[in-house]
Amino acid sequence: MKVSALHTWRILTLEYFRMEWRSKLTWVHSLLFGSLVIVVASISFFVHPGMGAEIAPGVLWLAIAFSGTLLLTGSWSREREMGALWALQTSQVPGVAIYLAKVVSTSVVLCVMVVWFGLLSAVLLQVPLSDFPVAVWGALLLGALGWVAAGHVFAAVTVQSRARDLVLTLVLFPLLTPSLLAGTVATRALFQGAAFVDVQGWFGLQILFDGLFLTLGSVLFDPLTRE
Amino acid sequence: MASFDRIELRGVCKSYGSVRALVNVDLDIRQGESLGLLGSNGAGKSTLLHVLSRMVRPTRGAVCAWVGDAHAPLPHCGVVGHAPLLYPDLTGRENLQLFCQIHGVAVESADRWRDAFDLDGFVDRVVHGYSRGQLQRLSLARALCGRPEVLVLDEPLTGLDRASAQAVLSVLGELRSEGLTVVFSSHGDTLVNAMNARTVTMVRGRVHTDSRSAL
Repeated sequence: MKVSALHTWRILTLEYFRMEWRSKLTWVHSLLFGSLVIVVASISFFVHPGMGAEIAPGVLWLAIAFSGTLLLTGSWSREREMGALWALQTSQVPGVAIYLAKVVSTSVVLCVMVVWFGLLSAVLLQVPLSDFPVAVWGALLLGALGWVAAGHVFAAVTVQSRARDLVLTLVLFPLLTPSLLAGTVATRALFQGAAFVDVQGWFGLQILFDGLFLTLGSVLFDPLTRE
Repeated sequence: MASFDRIELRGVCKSYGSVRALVNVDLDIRQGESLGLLGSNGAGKSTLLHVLSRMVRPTRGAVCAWVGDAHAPLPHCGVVGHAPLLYPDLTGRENLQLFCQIHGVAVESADRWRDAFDLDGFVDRVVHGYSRGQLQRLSLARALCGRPEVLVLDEPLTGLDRASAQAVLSVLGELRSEGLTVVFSSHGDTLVNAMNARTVTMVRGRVHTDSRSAL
C-alpha cells in the first residue's frame, strides 16, 4: 500500500520525539552545556546591575549555537549507529518527510531549551522578564529554527564523510554567520529599547534564511544522503 | 500478484573513488527466484545488493523491472545488511511498528515474524542492548514486516547460533514456497543448499560464473 509523504512525516515526527525523549544523554547534555554558558557569563561579566541586559543577547545566542549543534550531532548519530536512515531509504520514504520530521522534532526540543535559557538569563543576569519583549522571543525562536533547518541540511551533506561531526561544526558555523548576526543584532537592539519597526529588517533576514534552508533541505535531502 | 516478471541489471558499474566495486554487471533476476551471490571479501556482492535495493546509485548502467515487454516500477525490497538498520533508542516492537506504518501495513502483521524469529523474550527492550544474534533476527523481521516483493539479504546467517540459523532457514524456505524473490550473499553453501538457489559467483566486481547459464 502506498503511503503519502504527509502520513510518513507524521509517523516519523512522533517517533523522533520519542527517541529524543529516550536518549536523555543528548538533550540533558545540550541543556546543561547551554546553561553552563549562561552561568559562567553571569559570574564573569557581572560588573553592575545594568550590565546584564548588555551581555544577555550574546550569551543567549552562544547558548543556542552550542546546544543546537549538540542536538544535531545526537540526532544524526542515532541515524548512523545502526544504519536506520538506510532502512528508511530502502523503504522509499521521501527525503522531504525525513528532513522535515527531523527539523520539527529537533526544533521543538531546542525551542523549549531557548525558553529555559531566557528564564535562566533573566534570573542570573538580572534582566527583568518585563525587559524581554515578545519580539526578543520571536528572534530567538526564529534563530533556533534556522539553526536546526540549516544544521540538518549540512548534516545530510556530511553523512558520507568519515570526519562528519568535525565537518558539520566546521561547515555549519561559517555558513550560519549571516543568520546568527541578524538574530544577535536584532536581540541587542530590542534589549536596548528599540521598537520592532526598527529591527524588522533583521527579522526579514532571519525569515529569509529559515525559508531558504527549509526549501534547500526539502529538495536536496534525498540526493545528498544517497551514495 | 507480483508487480514484476524480472529485474534486469545492465552494464552496472559502481566506483568509490579509485576503487571499482562493480564492473559492467549484467544480471537477470526472475520473480520468485532465489539467487545466491558468492565470492571472496571485496568481490562486490554487498555493493550489488545495495544497488539492487537502491541504497546506492550505480555510477553507470541501469536497474529496471519488467512485466512482459513493459517497464514496471522497481519492486519494494526488504533489506537485511551488515548493519541492522534499526533505531537503537526504540524497542524491537516499536521498530517493527514504525516500519509497518511506513509501509501502510497493519501493525498486527508483524506478529507472524515476531513468532517466526522467536523475538518475544526481548522485543519490548530497547534495541541498544541486543546481542548480535538478536539484532539479526529483529532485522529480518523488520525487513519482512513491510511485505516486500524482493528480500535482499547480506550474509543473513552471520552472528546466529545453530538454533536461530535453523529458524531463519525454515522461514526462508517458507517464503520461497510462497513465491517471494530472495537475493542473498553468502560465503558458504548452507543457505544456497537450503534455498536450492541459483548461484552467481563474483570476482573483482564482475560476474564470473552463473549457474543458470551453466545449465
